[in-house]
Amino acid sequence: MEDINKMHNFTKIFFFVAIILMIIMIFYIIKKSIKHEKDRKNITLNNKYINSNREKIEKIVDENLEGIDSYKSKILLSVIILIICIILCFYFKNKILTYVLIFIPLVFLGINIYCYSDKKNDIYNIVINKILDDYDSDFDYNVNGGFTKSEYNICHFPERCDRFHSEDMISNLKKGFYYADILIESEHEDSDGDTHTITEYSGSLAKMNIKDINCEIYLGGMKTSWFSDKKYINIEFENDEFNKLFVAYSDNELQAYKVLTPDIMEQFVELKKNSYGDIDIRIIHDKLYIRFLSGDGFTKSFNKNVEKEKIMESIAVFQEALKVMEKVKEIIEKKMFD
Amino acid sequence: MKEIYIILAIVLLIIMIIIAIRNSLVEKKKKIERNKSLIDVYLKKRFDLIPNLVEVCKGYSKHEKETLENIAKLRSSFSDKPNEKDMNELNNVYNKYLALIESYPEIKAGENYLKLQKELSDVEKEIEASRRIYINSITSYNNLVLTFPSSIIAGIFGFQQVDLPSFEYQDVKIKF
Repeated sequence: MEDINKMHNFTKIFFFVAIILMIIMIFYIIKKSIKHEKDRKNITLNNKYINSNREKIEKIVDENLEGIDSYKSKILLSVIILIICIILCFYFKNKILTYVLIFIPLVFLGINIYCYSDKKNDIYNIVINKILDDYDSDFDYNVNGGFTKSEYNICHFPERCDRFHSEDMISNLKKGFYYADILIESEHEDSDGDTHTITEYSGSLAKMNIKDINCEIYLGGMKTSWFSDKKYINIEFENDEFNKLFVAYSDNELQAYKVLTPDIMEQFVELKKNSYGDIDIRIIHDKLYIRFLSGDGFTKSFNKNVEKEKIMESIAVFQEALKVMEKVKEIIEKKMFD
Repeated sequence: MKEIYIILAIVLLIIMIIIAIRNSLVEKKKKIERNKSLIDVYLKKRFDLIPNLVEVCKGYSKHEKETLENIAKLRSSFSDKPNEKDMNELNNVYNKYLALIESYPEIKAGENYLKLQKELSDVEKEIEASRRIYINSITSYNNLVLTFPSSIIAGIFGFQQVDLPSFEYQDVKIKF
């Protein structure tokens, strides 16, 4: 009897600790997301281009978003008709008539939603391209473009990736620069056999062509089991702060040391501390990849004012990413090839 | 009986930990030796550029003919029987000569010299990287020898701290 009581007490303590840990975790996640939102706003506020061109950008968005309002009205109308039809169905006993009454407005609603999202993508293409043209005419934006899963896999990021989504590609062929939003999801099956999708990563990935460094270097925030099984060596450099911020793997230790000299490491530490969103760096021969934990990029919302702010935020985040990419490229190439 | 199993399990665990730490010490010590030889490889690679240097300076530096001959002789002696004394001497003469070339604008302007400069710069970077790898491997090994509990195992098996090297030979900084 005493044993059972002891067990009971143990279970109570276990649950109590688990609940406290859960609360701390939730608190931590909320705090992080608030900080993230704040950082995003600050980046927009501190962005010179956005500050000096705010009115111009607002005008471009306003001019082009006018047409989308008619689609919104059509969707609203379809929803109202659908509700009326559903109510009417209760008065009709004829089943076929009931089906027809629901089916027709449903098709109408589907077509409108499709047209709305299609139109929205077109508008986004026009708006972002106009803003980018104003910033630098070599940049192109494609709402449907993005990285492929195989290209993402080259970078060997530690998260499990069962579903990969990438869109909103900004490219600059002259610079060999590519930037797109990415969403990584994993699928998990519970004890009932139901599959759940968990978001593993939401941010953006940037790629830039650099001079070939003759090796692969992976600088991430955490250790990953993937590398230990392969030809890659986990390297601990002489800079303790760098080792704390980056876990380094490479297929060629000597080359990695050649690239990551003490002053480059110092610069990387500064960069990681000051950059927006947590960054993971991959240098694979002549390609530089940097992943930014920047949350949703060009998220398309229904509200025009929200839309305007979101577009400006996304442009600011993109410019910040471009700045980081150019800085890393400059640091590496200057040291390696000058 | 139950107690014996527990004691046996603990002893087994301790033995496994000792083996793991010892193996890690052995591995790190071997890595130090491997990395030391890596520096020699790149220094040798640097000296292997001497024929290119001779070729570049041929016809221009008649006054330094003797120095060039001396470098070539030292290099061949070092290649036959590599030793630290020859290496340091060769390195010093080599660096002095490279610095001297700076006073010959005709040589500096030549295509071959620019090519040589590039090759030398690459080798210098490789030497610098290999030295850092070597020092890092010593630091990593020393940390294991000096920190608890691995320091006890290091003491039992006679693993001693390795002194950090002071590289006497200084490389010349090549101007571009």
